[in-house]
Amino acid sequence: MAHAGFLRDHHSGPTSDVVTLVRGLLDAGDEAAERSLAGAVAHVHDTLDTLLVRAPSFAEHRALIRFVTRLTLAPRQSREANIQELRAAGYSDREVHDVVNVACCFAYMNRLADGLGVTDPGSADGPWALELMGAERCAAHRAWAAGTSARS
Amino acid sequence: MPTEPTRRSWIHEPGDDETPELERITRGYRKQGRRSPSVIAVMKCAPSTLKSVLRLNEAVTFGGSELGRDREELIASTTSALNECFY
Repeated sequence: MAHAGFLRDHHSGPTSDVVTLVRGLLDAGDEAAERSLAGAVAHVHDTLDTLLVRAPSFAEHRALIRFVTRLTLAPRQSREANIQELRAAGYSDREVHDVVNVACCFAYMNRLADGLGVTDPGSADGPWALELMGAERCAAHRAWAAGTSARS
Repeated sequence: MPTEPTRRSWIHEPGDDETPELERITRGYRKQGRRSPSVIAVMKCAPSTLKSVLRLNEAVTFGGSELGRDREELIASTTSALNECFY
């Protein structure tokens, strides 16, 4: 996951917190896939509260992660009240705009990669990918990129 | 003998020097001594799209927003993790 690599390099907290947060979100996303959209968002939000205890350097970004979770998993469930939650956390309207645009940009790149079978042989099975995604997910990604399996 | 480049997507990826325009667009990566990232390179078959997306990325991400790089990357990682995507 190239961008968590950037986060690893740019986050002010420890790398172990990056691994804890991203791995936790991956697992929560897997579990959420079995649920309704509303249930999926609620499940990830509940999981996030636990994750932030284990990865405290991200705790100040709780409102941001909650907002991006909803926008990613269930965009049509967005409400004006969700923006109020960001404002209450100190975000200006320009920053709220930027949060949505950054999330859109990466969702776009995710769809581009998924739709065209993009992989990076140099890093998809490298040490960072293994630490972040785990061996099973890395193997599944390689099989998918090779065209031998669908992603679950 | 030149070796076949490793396949990085399911569609044909033109070489950086296949057209003067591609050579120009990808020059920055080569100056850094690296290949263009695969999720960028996959757009080399549509150079005008590639240029537009790079401009958008510069404006919105990689420090282009008012959020700072830390929060941008947190959003990227959250989005990619929930989409279970390597990018």
